[in-house]
Amino acid sequence: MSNQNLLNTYDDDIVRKFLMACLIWAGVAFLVGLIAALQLAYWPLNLNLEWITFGRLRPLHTNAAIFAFAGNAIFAGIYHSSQRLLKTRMFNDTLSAIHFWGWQLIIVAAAITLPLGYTHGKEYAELEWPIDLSITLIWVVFAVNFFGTIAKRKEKHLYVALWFYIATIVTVAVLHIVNSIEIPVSFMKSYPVFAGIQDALVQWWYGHNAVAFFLTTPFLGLMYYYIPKIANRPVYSYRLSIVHFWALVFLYIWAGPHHLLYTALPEWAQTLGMIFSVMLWAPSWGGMINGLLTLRGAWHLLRTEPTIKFLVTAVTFYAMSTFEGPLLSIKSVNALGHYTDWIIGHVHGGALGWNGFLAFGMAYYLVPKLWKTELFSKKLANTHFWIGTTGILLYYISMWAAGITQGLMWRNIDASGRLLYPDFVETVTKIVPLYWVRALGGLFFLTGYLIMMYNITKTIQQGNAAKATETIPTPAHQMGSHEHETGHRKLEGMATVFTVLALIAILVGSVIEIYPTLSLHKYVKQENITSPYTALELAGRDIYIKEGCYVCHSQMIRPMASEVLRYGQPSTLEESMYDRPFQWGSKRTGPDLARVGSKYPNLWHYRHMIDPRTVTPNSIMPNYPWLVQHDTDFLILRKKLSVMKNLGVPYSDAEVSNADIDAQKQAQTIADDLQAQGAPAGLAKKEIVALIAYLQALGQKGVKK
Amino acid sequence: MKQEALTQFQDTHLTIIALMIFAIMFVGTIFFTYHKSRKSFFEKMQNLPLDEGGLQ
Repeated sequence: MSNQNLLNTYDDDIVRKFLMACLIWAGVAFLVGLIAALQLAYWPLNLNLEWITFGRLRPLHTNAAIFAFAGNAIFAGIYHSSQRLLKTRMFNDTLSAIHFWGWQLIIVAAAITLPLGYTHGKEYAELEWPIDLSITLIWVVFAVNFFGTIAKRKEKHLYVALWFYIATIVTVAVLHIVNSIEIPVSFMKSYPVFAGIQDALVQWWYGHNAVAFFLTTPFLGLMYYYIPKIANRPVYSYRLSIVHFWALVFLYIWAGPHHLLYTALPEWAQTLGMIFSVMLWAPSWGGMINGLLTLRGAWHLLRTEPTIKFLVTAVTFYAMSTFEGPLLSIKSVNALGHYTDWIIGHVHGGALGWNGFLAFGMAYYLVPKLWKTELFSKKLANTHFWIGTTGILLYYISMWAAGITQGLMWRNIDASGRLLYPDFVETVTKIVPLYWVRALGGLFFLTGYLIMMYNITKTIQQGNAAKATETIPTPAHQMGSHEHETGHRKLEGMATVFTVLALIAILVGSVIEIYPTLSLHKYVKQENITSPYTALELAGRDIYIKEGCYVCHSQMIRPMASEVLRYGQPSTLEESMYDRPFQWGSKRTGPDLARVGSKYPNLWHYRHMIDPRTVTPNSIMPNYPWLVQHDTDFLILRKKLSVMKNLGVPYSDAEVSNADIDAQKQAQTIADDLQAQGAPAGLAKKEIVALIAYLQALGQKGVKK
Repeated sequence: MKQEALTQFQDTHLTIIALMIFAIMFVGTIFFTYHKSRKSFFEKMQNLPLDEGGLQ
């Protein structure tokens, strides 16, 4: 095909690539998720192998689901729909190829480094600094390619789906860059510049808006394109879509602090997060109604078209998730649900139901189109739909039950003012049967996926991608001046101004929330200021992060009677003021560790890490036998303390220059104590000792007990 | 709770700026969206996904 002819066709090759990548990575994400679910139900499945233990596998699962599966689905949909909405080929095929292969390389890098324990220890932002840099570069390539396509478009006005894509590209860039500001210590280790409360606020501003602008806005864009397209009727209300867009991008960015309710975050920030979360009900449901009512007069398609079934169910799950999210953000509800499996259920309702089903619906529509054939079997697609839906419901309901059960058990206080379930493990064993139900739900979902892959493979085999070249139609509207247009109509023809306004919309909330906490001195009480970790404790902290302990343990005691009875005085923001990254956590599969220091002797921790069941019968925590085999890296401690000092941690020059020597002395003291109590000799150099030093320091840095 | 939250917030100028931006944004959006003259434009816009012209 000549260059001119090529320019008159859509680049569907890149769409096929992203779609295939999406479907392949989906299998990895679902399989790893199922294994992780089984590990929680049956701990021996951790296999005593460090690379597949739950703490390292769970970040792999979340990254695969979000960035590999959902990410590639977004790119496939954006590349397909944008070309057709803008009536032009993508700006540059080379940039498209760099975007595709660069993104897959990043995913492979994540799949290798996360099981090896290279992690920031910040949820959904675990990848270390070289990969962070790569993400930034590839995202810029994507942005240049996308905005270049807008610049050379043949359709003057930007359809609402494109606004959602613009908001996604701009906001994800801002979120990723700000949350990844870090100082490298070595090739695969860095510390964030933000600490404690600042890091918490920035992280959950990022984490919440990763959900908003990676798993919501781009999928809403896809919804606004594919539902009208497949149902062959226009969106229910274009006016509503405009209000939906601006309200959503303006409000969503403020809601991050609802992940930090009842923490040491200042009360005003918590209240702000709660109020904006509740306000999100309106735009979320406005968009949902707009999506569903697009099918007015075509509801019969729900019976006959599996693609429509997936899309409608996806929007229904969007409705449920966006109702439940604000509900969980109300402080009194959050007090019960936070740290429990209710949150896990909520997340999976959105991820499996909304993102998963929308991606599947899109795939069932796109594969026959892109390979110029019919779907191999509608019956199999319907089977997939029902098995998948059953799987999601099993997952969702079991996690609801588990979360509410555990939340109620944690807070149950008897008439004499004592905890009814003082042993945390009691509240875990109670819900293990529900973990099996969850795993069954995951198995159903994975089975549905395998049926889809068979169906799609057969469809591709009978198709012919080479003949499926779509020619670009004559532009319906000539690009011209904007002088006779006013208001939003004019704005829609001015992509740059539109992008700047969208950027302002998300920056307003970001700046107003984050800026005040950068002045930490306003909130720190001098009498509560803590001392920093010793060199050995810092080494132990990095092992804690490497093993993903934060996945199951929080370090944040909430100001509630039941928490104070169980764990001690509420956590203060001063306690984590030097924590890079903060480790407040978001889930308690195990108990809170904020004040675990000095609670048990060193030998208890040693035995607990080797086999938790020797000290806590029925515990579901994995064994960590490799901690007594691996040596602590003492030599890097000078560099680590030096970086920390540059970031403002009050280490003296002597502490920095003697970091390794001081650490070895402290390690020897702990090792001697362990040996005296019956542990083997020669543990001083081992990682277990550094980890014990850190655990014993938690809550012991100068605050009231 | 509200009183306690507000007493801790010391950057009140940010509150005022945010309120103004909010008000302008919402009033502007509603004005532009529900202006009568835009009805035909919206009808054209909402048909864009269906208007491929070439192959389907």
